[in-house]
Amino acid sequence: MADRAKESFNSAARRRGIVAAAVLAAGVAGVQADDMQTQYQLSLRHTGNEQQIIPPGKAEVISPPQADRPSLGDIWAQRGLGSDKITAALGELTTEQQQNLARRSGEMFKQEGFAEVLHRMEGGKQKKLNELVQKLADMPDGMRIITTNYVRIDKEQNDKVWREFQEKAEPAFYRHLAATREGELRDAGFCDYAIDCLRRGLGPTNAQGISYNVDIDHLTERAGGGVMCTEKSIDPVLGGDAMFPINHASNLCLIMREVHVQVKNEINALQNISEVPHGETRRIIMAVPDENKQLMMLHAKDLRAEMQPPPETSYFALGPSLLITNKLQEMRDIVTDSTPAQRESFFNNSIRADFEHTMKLWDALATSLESAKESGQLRGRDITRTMGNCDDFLKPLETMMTATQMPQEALENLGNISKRIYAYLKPDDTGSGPAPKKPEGRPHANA
Amino acid sequence: MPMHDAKSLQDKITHALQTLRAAEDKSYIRGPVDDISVMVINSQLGKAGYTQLPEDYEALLRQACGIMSPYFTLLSVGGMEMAGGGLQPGLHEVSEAYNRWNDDDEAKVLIVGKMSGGVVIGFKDAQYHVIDESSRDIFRSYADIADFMTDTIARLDKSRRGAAG
Repeated sequence: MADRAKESFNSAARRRGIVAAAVLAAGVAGVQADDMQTQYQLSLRHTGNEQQIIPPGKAEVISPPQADRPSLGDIWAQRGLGSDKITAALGELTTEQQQNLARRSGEMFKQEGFAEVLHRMEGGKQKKLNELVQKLADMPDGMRIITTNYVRIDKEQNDKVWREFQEKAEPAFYRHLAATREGELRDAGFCDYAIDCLRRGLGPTNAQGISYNVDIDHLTERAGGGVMCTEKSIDPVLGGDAMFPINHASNLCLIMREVHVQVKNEINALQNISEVPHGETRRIIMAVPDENKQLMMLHAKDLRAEMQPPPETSYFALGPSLLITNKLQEMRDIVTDSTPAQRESFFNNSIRADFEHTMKLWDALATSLESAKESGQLRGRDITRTMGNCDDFLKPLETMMTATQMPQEALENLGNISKRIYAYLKPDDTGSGPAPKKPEGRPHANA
Repeated sequence: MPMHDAKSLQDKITHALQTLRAAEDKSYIRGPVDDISVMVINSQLGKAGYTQLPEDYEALLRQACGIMSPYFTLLSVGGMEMAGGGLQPGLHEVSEAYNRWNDDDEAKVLIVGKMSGGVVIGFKDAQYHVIDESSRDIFRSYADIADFMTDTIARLDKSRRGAAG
């Protein structure tokens, strides 16, 4: 079951894409400014108060592939990327992903060395190349692809730079955000306590001390900033003592952790930047926030399930559901041989947080279905797709939770959500008929 | 990791947690883990090709199954709910993500925690290492998790006091 479910998840995710994709805005000039730093890196050394630092790209407009137009493969082949490996990687994309990538290709190929990076990837594993191409196609709203030089500094210097970040730059950056962006931070959902943390130079948490789901990203990678990591200067934004420019505010961005980990860091990892020898330079592809989001990229709405229409909403719940189902399946013998008290303790320690998070995501699907139904936008094919996701992920979760005798309250909550969702997914129900009522007092209604 | 008897191990962890609770900035410290959860996570780690939980990390989990603090995050056996609705995955999932693109013959590093600025805490060769996640540079190493905790708290409290003064 788990394998089938996983396969289904992967194909479903490929089919439609989990992360909202959008056409990226202005292109960026990729002209190398000097022997070590790209124009992008130099642009980060400005204060941000000047007029547009990066000139708007005059990106060649490449229309999405259609029947009478060249395919994405043809477009890339015309730029020297027509090998079997590239073709295979592009062939793994869904139609929508191909359209997204075609729209972005003009800007990407304007980046100096973009094709060179892809050529280098051709020498490695096909799986990595496929993954990179998929990441390029799925770039979330507010981010764009550039190329830059990764100039690897030595380990001792990297450590110095990191410590300076933790001890000086990070607290100063948080204080700067609290002083200058409080309204945006509140709009993004930070509570009073979190704003107060920022004022004190600390990472944002709620009153219990639980962290918000954000990171500070170094736009130019800390370990690959070359002279930005070796020659200190006073930060024109933060002031104070001289710091390495890699730690200046213009190179930092408060970013949603999912984007940081799943997009930016993953693109770096796929290019094996850890294998660049110390002191050497390699051209790399990098995901960076759009110019107007360089200090903060907190567009949480794009990452929250309830903002998406069905069936997209359901995709958010698939991975977490599969994780719990697999864990329970693997540990079924241990868990079922234990006492009820032990099982409850196991659930609380090992499952509860994932489960409640997953319940919120399924609840978001129910809310989304409800909303789509009320507005008459629940289409038959959406019902079919959503039903497929629920059959492959929600039902197995219910089955495994029951089989491993998880706490009754959790089973009931899951059962209620499941009934609520399936009530919208009757095969003959294409938007007419009475909507099922939300049960009152549900513990997971606030997705 | 040096050999400890169970009592001295517990005492050292208890002391590190007291240091964290008494530190200048507030932390979120979860309750203790139970036997079955330890058994399950060890079974999961074993199946995925990892070392078993280090003795001292298990001792930590038995007092605090997951910590979020302004100094570091120490991972739990499962996910931890975050403010604003996110989820911090558990140590098995985080370790799998870290080792995802390893060469086939490369030993997996068990990731037990993280710090700001893209740094993780990994357990390998019986030591805890402070590792730059993107470059994989190892900045420093500790014999046990309690030493890592107390040293990090002291360093950051000192620098923050200096910045405030």
